[in-house]
Amino acid sequence: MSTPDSSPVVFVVDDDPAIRAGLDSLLRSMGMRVHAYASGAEFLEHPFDDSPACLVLDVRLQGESGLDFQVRLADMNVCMPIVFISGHGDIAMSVKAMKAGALDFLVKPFREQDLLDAVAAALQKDARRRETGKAAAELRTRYKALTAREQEVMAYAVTGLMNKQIAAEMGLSEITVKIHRGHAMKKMQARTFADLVKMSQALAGD
Amino acid sequence: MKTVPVALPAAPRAQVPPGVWLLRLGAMVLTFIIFLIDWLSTLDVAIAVLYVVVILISGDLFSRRGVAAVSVGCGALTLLAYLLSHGDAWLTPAFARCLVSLAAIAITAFLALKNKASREALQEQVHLLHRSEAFLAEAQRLSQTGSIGLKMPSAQMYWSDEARRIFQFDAQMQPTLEYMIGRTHPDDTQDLKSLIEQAYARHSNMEAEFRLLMSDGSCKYVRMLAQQVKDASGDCEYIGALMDVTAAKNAEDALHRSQSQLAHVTRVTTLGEMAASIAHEVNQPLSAITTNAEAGLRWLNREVPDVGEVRSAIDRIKSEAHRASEVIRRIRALSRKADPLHVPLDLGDVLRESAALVQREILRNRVHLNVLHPAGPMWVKGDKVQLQQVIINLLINAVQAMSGMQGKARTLSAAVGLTEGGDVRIRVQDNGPGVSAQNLPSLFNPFFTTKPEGMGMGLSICRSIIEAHGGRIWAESELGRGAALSFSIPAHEQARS
Repeated sequence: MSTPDSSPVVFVVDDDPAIRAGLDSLLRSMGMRVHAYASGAEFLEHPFDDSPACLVLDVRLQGESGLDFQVRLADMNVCMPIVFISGHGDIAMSVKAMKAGALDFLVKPFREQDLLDAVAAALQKDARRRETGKAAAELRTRYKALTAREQEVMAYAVTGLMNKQIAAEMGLSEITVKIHRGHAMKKMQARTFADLVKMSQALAGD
Repeated sequence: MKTVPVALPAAPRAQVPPGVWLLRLGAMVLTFIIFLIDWLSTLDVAIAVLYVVVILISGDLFSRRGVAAVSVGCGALTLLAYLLSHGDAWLTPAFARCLVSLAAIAITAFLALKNKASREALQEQVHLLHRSEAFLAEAQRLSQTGSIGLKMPSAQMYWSDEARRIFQFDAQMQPTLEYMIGRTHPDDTQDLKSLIEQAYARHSNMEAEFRLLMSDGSCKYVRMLAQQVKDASGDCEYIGALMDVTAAKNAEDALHRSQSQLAHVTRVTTLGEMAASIAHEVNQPLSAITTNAEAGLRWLNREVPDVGEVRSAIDRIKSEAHRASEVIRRIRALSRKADPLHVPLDLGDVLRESAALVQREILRNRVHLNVLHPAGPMWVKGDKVQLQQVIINLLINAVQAMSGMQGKARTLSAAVGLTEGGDVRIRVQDNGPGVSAQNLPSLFNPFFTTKPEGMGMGLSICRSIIEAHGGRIWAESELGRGAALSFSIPAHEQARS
C-alpha cells in the first residue's frame, strides 16, 4: 500500500505528553511527517506505508518498555531503524538496545541537533534499505518472466560453460541454446554477460 | 558456667547413727540396774527417783513417743519393784517413797516432752532457714546478683557468696570497703567513693552503676541498689543487691552499634534513592522544555514563521516549567514533614553526647580527643538530633582527615565557647593535612568531596541544618597544619536567665 506522499515519516513513541508534543513539533518544523503515540501498542494500531521511516522510542514507557517493544518489532519482521531516548544514561540498557540493532541512544535532556542528526541518519539508512529491497524485487520479477528453458540455460551459462557444452548437457542444438541465451540476456536487461553473472549472484543471495 | 554444690541440711528422720544405738543400750542397762537396786536393796531411799536420769537421757535418744514410752516404762518398773519387795502393803513409808518417785518420773517426763517439742520446732525452723538460704544462694548464682551488707558507722561488711564471686574475692578474705574500691575501674572510683560518703551521711536509698577492673584486665559492669535498715540501737545497716550486668551491657552496646550503623546505611540509601527519583522527576520536564524551546525556535526561524506552532510550543514550555516547580514544591513539603523540634539545649551537653557516640570510632583511629567546655551550660534553641548530626559529621570528618597521618600524634579538639557577638560556637580542630586554599570556599557546596567514596553531602547538609538554626558554619585551614571547622548559633536568652 503506497500513498501519494512518499516523503519520509518519523514515528515517535513516548508516554510523556509534553515531550511527545515537543518532538512532534520539532520534527515537523524540519518538514518531516510525524506520527506520535503514547505506547507501542498504539503505534501498532495504525498502518504504516512504504515511505522511508524511523522510530524515536522512549526506553522508559508505562507498561511495555521500549526495549521489550524493540524485541517485539523484530519478531514481527518490522525492520524500521530505531533511535532510543532515555531519561537515564544506563550503560547496560544502551548496550542491550544497540546490540538489538538500535541506531542511536540519546540521554535526556539531549541536544536537539543530535536527535535531528540521528533521525536523519536513520531515515537515510531506511531509504537505502528500501532501495536495495526494491532492486532485488525487480530482479526477481524479471527472472520469473523467463521460461523454464531460458532459466536452465542461464544457470549453465553463468557457471562458465560454452554454448556447445550446454547444448550437449541439455540435448539441444547449439543454435537453440544461443537463442535461449539471447532471450535470457534481453529479459533480464543484462547489457553484458558480466551483468548477468552479477544478477544471478544477487538472486542466489536473496 | 561453674556449678557450685549446695549443701542441703540432712533430712530430720534420717538413719539413726550407731552411737545413738549404743547410748540407747546404756540407758536400758541403767534402767535395769536401777530396777535391781530398787527391788533388792533394803535402803529406805526412793531409789526409783533415779529413773529421771533415764528419762532425761532418752530425751536425746528417742522421739517424743519414745520418751513417753520410756517414762511409762519407768513408772511401771517402779510399781513392779514395789510390789516385788513390799507386796500389797499400802499406807507404808515405802509406798509414800514409791509415790514420790512416780511423781518425780511424771514431772520429768512432762518437762522432757515439752523440751523435746520445742527443740523439734526449733530444728524445723533451722531446716527451713537452711533451705531458704540454699534457695537464695542458687537464685543469686543464677541471676548473678549478690548481697552486700554494710553496717554504719563501723563500716563492717557482710558479703554473700555471689557478691564475692562477682568481685572475685576468695572465700577466706573478709572484704572491706577498701578492697571494694580497689577493684573498681579507675574511672569510676570517684563515683563509688561519693556513694560511700552518702552512706556515711545516712542517705536512705542508693543506686549506682560502675565498672570493675578484674585482675585479668577484663571489665565488668555492676549495678548496685542499697536500702537503709535501722536497728533499735540507732545504728543503721545498708542491705544491698549487687548485679553483674556485663552481658546485658555488652548486648546493649552491640545493639547500639548496629543501630547506628543501620541508621547511617538507611540514611545513605534513602538519600541515594531520593536523589535518583528527584533527578528523574525534574529531568522529565526539563527535557520537555528544551525540546519544545528548540522546536519553537525552529518554527520562528523559518522563512515564514509559524506563530501558531511557536505559541503552542511556548505554552508547553510554560506548563512544563510549572510541572518542574511543582516537583520541587512536593520535595520541600516532604522534607518539612520531619519538622525539627526546637527546644532549649545545653550545647556543651550535645557536644559531650555526640563525642560519646563516636568515641569508638575515634579510639579505633588512635585519635586523642579533647573536649573543652565551660563550667556552666551554653543554652541554645535547636533540634538535638540535628545538632548531634552536625557535630558527629565534623568529628568524623576530622578523624578521617587524620587517618592517613603517620609519625605524628593525631589530636582533635572540640570546644564550646562564645563568639564576640555572643553566639554559642563549637569549634572542631584537627592537626591533619588541612584543606587547600582553593578547596576551602567550596567545602560546603553539595557534591563537593575529596574522598573517593564520598557523596559530598555531609558538610552541605551541616550547613543547611546550621542555617535552619539561624547560625553559620565556616572553615579555617592552613595547608599542612590541620583544619578547624566551626559553627555558631544564637544563644537562647530565656533559658540562660
